Amino acid sequence: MRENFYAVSFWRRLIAYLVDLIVINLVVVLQFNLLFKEKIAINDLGFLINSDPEKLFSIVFTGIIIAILSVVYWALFEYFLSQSLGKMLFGIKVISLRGSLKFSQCLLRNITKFSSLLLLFDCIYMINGKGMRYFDKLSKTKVVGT
Amino acid sequence: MIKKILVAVLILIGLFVVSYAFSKLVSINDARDKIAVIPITGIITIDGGGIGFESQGVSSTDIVQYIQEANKNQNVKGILLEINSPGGTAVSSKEIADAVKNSKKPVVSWIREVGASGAYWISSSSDLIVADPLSITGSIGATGSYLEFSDLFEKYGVTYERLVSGKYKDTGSPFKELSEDEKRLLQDKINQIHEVFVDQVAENRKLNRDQVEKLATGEFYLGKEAYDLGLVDYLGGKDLAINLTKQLAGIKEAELIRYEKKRGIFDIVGGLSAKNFYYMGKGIGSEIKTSSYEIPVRLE
Repeated sequence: MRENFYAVSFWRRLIAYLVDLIVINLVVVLQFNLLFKEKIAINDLGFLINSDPEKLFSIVFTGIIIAILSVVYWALFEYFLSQSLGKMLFGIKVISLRGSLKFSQCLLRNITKFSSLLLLFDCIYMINGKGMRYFDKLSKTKVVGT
Repeated sequence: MIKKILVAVLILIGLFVVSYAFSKLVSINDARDKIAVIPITGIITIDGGGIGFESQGVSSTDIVQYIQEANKNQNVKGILLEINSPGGTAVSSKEIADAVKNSKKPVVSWIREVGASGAYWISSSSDLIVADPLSITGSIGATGSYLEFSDLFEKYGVTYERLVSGKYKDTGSPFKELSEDEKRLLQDKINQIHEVFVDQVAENRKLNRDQVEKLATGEFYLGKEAYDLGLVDYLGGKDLAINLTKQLAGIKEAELIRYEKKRGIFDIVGGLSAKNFYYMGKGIGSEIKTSSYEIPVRLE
């Protein structure tokens, strides 16, 4: 059966992204938060950074791990199911513009989710009117409604 | 559909397991001995809201929580109270002093600029007190003084209509003059607090009660004087205080962890609006009271 695809609004994609962030927080970030309860919940990150370079390293290391696992979350979901949980909820999916969706495409299109700043720059490209992030274009993928 | 759910669950479980493994890996570095540094800065009140014109304070609820958390944390071997406070309300000071006394881990008080009155009560309940020779400390005593506006109101033709169900119900109202009877009553309460304060300092510092009573004139003492009078144990600064904490804890090296609340932009904005709403509500509700007037008896 042939599926009918249509363009998805920026806001729908944003809300789906926020849902995914909640899922990632529950599955990934929460465990590190428990670990850092003593270190970060006391709200003195600056003090820790100044006092202990080793701890600074472990905080940065944790940040990088969380970022990598977040990217992996989107890449795996999109590769196996063509949609993350957030996208599933809002009836959105990712399609390849050239043949079937490859894992490398999924990884590339989500790489900017490593950092919210990178993602922001990536999203600026969406003002092109085609509703595509720059890395959507680069990875030859498109987000569509089903 | 079932296949889809199965794949989703597998991915989530996989990510969960990997995150858990990494969190364990990072936690290896976290087993060193620690000293909890708990700052007590500003006027001490239950909620940290300050008294009268002093709007910034420290919350006894927070400090007690930090002391309890430090006691629960197995890596924390000792507690250092960094005191810079002129005192606060009787109950909040006592709450912290009790928490310090109940601490299973050694507690050292380091008095910086000032550790007087209620803050001195807290210090006295710790195992050791370190102060700078020029620190302000002591000031053992209680005060309940407040501003009374009745003459000012009279000048502007504002009168106080007294409607009470008991003769002491509006004792301490700033809108009327205290009667001799009421003055005696309030003074008696302040004296009772004073007695408890003196008892506690004598017991905590293992000093003769009469000796403490003589010192408890409300006079403040410089660190050097306090040392000579037996109110502090050592004269020195941060390094000495840390070394003494380590000694009491029986450790050679320790990492310092600061337990304190950092105010972010949202706290500041939230605090301001909360205060505005509080005063708005207070203004609306001020006409009808079921509670007594709050006499701010302070140890400062």
